[in-house]
Amino acid sequence: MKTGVLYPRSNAHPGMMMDFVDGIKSALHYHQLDHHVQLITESIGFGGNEKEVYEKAEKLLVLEGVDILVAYVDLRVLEILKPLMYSSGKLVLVVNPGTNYPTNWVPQRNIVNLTLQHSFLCWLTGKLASQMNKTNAATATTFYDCGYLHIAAMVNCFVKTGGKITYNYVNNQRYDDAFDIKPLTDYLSADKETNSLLCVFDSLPAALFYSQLNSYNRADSLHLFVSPMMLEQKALEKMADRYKFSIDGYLPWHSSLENKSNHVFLDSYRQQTKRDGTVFSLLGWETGLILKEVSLHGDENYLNGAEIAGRLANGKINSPRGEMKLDAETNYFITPVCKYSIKQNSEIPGVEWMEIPQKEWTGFVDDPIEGVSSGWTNTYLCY
Amino acid sequence: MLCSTRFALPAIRELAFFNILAAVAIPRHCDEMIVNTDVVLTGTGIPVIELDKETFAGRILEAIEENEVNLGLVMTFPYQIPSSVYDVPSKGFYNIHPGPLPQYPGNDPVFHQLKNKEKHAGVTVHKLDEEINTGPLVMNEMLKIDPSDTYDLLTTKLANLAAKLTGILVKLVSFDIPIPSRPQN
Repeated sequence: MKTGVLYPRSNAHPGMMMDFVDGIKSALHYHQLDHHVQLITESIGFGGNEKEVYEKAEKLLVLEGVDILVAYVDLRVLEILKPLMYSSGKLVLVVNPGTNYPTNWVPQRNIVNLTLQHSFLCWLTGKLASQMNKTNAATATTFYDCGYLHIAAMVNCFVKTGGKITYNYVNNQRYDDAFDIKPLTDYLSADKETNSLLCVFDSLPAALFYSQLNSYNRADSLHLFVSPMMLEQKALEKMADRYKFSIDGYLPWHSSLENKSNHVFLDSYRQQTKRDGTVFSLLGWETGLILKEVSLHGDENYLNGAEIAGRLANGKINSPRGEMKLDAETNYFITPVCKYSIKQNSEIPGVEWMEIPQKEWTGFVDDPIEGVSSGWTNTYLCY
Repeated sequence: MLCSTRFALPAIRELAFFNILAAVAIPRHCDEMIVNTDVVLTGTGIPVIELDKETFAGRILEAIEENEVNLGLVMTFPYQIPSSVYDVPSKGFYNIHPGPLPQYPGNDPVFHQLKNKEKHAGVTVHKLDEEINTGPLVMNEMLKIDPSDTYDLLTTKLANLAAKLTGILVKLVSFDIPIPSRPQN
């Protein structure tokens, strides 16, 4: 089975793509499919140049004649690729962190989506803030992070469930001494009614944000509701200093998850790469598991991607995240999720796993972005 | 752009906004559409050409030459366009049809999708050929029909979807690549 892989690169997370591609290879090796599934890879820069991505996709589908295309791209660029994918009819697996989500969820039938569910997890986080009776909240994000819809998902859900946004703070995104959150702390000092923050940061600025906020004199009155990347190890590296504020959010996956598939993933990946598994290698590993399902049932006929997607929707995949299934209404894979909490002055997180939250997923899909939105075209975290 | 109903208005607005619309041609009997298009294009200098059934092909050819048109678009147009017209623009001639193809060719697919109680309605972009709505398919997107959707409301939703697909088509054309397509089954 000839598989084309479009992969972007990232300066902020230089190991991202090696982790992703090695994740695919590790899964195929573990399942003894590395000779059956041939990978043909193409780099697409940061994934934001539509023409470049189109040409690389065309090369794989037309010139190389791949049976399946794995495209690590964001949704804005995907739009321009859809006619090519429509005319080929072959199965396309779109992979990304899920920080953007469609305004129209009705899928093109030969395209399936595997994500880290970031927007959905942010939506759940906004809902959690409301459920914890937080009525007033300020948002805090960066110039880069607010160019994706995950912040909108969090804020919209919070507001629709009774919350009110009192202040919006967009960070200057300097990763040095110039990193500055003073406008935010000035506002919080003046408005004693706002003690909750809805925060969306990549892990690099998140670590700086936590660190500076911890020095704020009213930090112990704050409750942070945060995006998934803010719960990554790199973001929480100074947690041992103990934060004065509480943190709540959701993660797509955590290395401590106790299930056989997670152990197999972590052990095999470490054995083959001498590196620990990451969320990016997880995405690669899950891509490998999907390729396995396709190759086992494809009968060497890969021309009808919609039919293959239909078969995938009838099965389940044992992912390191737990049982993963393809939602036939949207062609998105959905998985169990992890609620993650850090109480103030504690360094021991509370971790709670939830089986596939089908009802919440449906609520998220039925709560579309309204009106016109703009944003970055590159794949999230590829900057 | 050749059109006759308000299905085309969001796309006209978008193309005019990006200053890539050369002219709009509408059958003379579609008075309401002519007025609406005039309003949308006020101040842009983009001509609205009125067509008669007997002479429309020649008039379109003149307009293509006058305005240096390199891409032709059709959105609900009542007359069959001959190859002597659709072969002229260097980047091709495309129809943006308010229904999935080949399932819903012909007049008023919006009405028929509702009448048949479909769960989804769609917009399809295809290349023009000798017959009506039979050319190679370029892209299709479906949306969910809400139980509260009326004919007018669904037409508006599909018109907005059509504007989005038109934008994608125009961007692809700007890449100067062959536009991918597949035959209708």
